[in-house]
This record gives sequence, structure tokens and C-alpha cells, in this order.
Amino acid sequence: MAKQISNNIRKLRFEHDEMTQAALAEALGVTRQTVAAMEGNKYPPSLELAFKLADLFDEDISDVFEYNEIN
Amino acid sequence: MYFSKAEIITFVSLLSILISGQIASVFVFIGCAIYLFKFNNKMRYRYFTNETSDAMLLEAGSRFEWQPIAKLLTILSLWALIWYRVDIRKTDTESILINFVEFWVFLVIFANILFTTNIVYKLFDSSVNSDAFSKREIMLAGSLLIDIIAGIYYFYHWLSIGDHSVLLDKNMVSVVIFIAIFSAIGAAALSLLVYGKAAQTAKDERDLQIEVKAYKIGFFALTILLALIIGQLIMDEMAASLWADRALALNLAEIANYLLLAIMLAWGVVSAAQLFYYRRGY
Repeated sequence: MAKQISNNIRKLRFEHDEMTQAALAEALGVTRQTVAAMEGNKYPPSLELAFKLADLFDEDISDVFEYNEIN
Repeated sequence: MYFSKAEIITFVSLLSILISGQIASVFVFIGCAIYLFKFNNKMRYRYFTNETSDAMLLEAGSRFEWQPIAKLLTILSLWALIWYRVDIRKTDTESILINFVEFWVFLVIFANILFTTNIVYKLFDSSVNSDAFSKREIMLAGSLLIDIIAGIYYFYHWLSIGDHSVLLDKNMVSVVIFIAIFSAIGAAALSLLVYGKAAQTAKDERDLQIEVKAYKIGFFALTILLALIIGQLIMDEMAASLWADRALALNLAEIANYLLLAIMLAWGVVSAAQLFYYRRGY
């Protein structure tokens, strides 16, 4: 069964004062399009960026990213 | 995907003009419009039901809106087809006030100019698409367009000169100079239009990965094109060695131009691949 990396970035943004994609992108040092691509599971981030994200939301990396079977 | 009333009228009336251009277009228009209105209501209901269920959607513009582009392209194609129908262009518009049908056609054409303008406006309206297309993508698409225009211009002139054996034809030198100036001015204007005075944003990891992937595809494209040219040269030489009276089919100027074409195509593939990965996802 094929697996893919999914994430809760959109949910976490929502929970962090409805942070915008642009604000998150600026905090991470990437473009807004990259944040949008990650949210849409169109781009799996590098390990460094994944840790940055987890740090920013003050979450464990496994709470931000999941490795699930594709439905 | 659903259509607004204005869009339905535009599509159906343009189609009806294209199909008949005569009295039948009135009936085609009424029939199709009734059918499409019914179908459209179902689609509109589904569309909005799905949208409102996503409470987490903070930025609607984060998703690529392809519908306005598809609609615009369809309408522009219909316009182009109508324009090339000589009977519509010459006969119908000349006698436009003679009878009701032709007057009706005139009204529909006039309305469609308004609707098409409206759809073009929507396409470039910030709330629809500017958020979906990044500046980098617009730059890529723009430079790809400049390259295509320059390529077509160059090869059109090269093919139109009589003697293909001359590497530096007098006319071709001026063509090359013109292309160099056009490309430089085009690139500068594009950059000014897209970025203004602001500095170009730095590439992040996704940009770099997409670039790497696109260059890989470009490299494969170049390899295939070069293999084709080399294969052609080998075949020519074999033929020339087997039959003494047969000269080599490709001369130096032609080989140079084929190589140039291969390089240009490979660059085009790189830009197109980048655009594709930005849209579809890495």
C-alpha cells in the first residue's frame, strides 16, 4: 500500500491566532507558495524545514507531520 | 465548475453564431440556454456545498483557479473561429440592419464583447488569480513566451532565405541583432512589470528542487535532440559513402541551426517543466 506524508499545518495555523500563510512563510524564511504547497501535500519539506515548523508551533514533529497510507 | 448566467449566454450564443449564423441560431440559443441553466443549478449547488464545509480555508487564493482560464480560452477560441468564418465576417455584418435575425446576431456579438471583456477582467482580478500565480511563475511564463517569439522569428527568417548553406547571411545578422535587443528589452520590461522596484525574492528550497528537476528534464530533452541530429548526420554519411553521387544532405549552416534549435527547445522544456511543477506540485 502506498504511503504519503500529510500534515496539520493549516490546522496549526488556525490555532495560532489564524496565522496567515504569508506570516508563516516569513517566519520560516520561505515563500508563501511553498507554505501553500506543503499544506496541500504537494511538497514534502526538507527535514530542516520540518523541524523549523514544529519549533515554531511548539509541537512535536510527529504532531505536525504524519506518514499515512493513501486512501 | 459552474457558470454564471452571463457566461452561459456568452458560450451558447457564440456557439450558435458559429454553428449557423442564421435564424437557427435563435432556436439553438434558447434550447441550449434552458438546458444549461438547469444543469448549472445542480453544479452550483454542489460547488457551494463543498466550499462551505471547509471551515479551515483561511486563504481562498491558495488554490489554483483554473476555471477562469479554461473559460477564457474557450471563449477566445470561439471568437477566433467566428472571425475566420468569412460568411459571418463579411455577409452578416454588412447587412446587419436588413432583417431581425442579423440584427439579433449583431446584438449578441456586441453583448459578447462586453462579456468577454468582463471575463478577461476577472482573470486578472486580484481576488481570483493573482494570489495563485506567484511572481516567479509569471516571470517564467513571460520569459518562455519571449523565447518562443524570438525562436519563431529567427527560424521563420532562416527558412525564408533562399540559400541555407550560408552560415552568416546578411539578413540573418540583422535578425539576430533584433532578437538580442528584443530579448533584452523584453526581459527588462517583464522584470519591471512583475517586481517593480522591489528586489526579486530569494529562492527557497522548493524553488531550488523544482529547478533541479526541471534542468534534469531539460538535459534529457537536449540529449534526445542531439542524438537525433547525430543520427541524421550518421545516416547522411552512410548514404553518401554508399552512393557516390549523393552529397551530404545537411550542410554546416543547417547543422548549426539544428543545434541552435535543439538548445532553444531544451531551454523551453526547462521553463515549461518548472511551470508544470509549480502548478502541479513537486
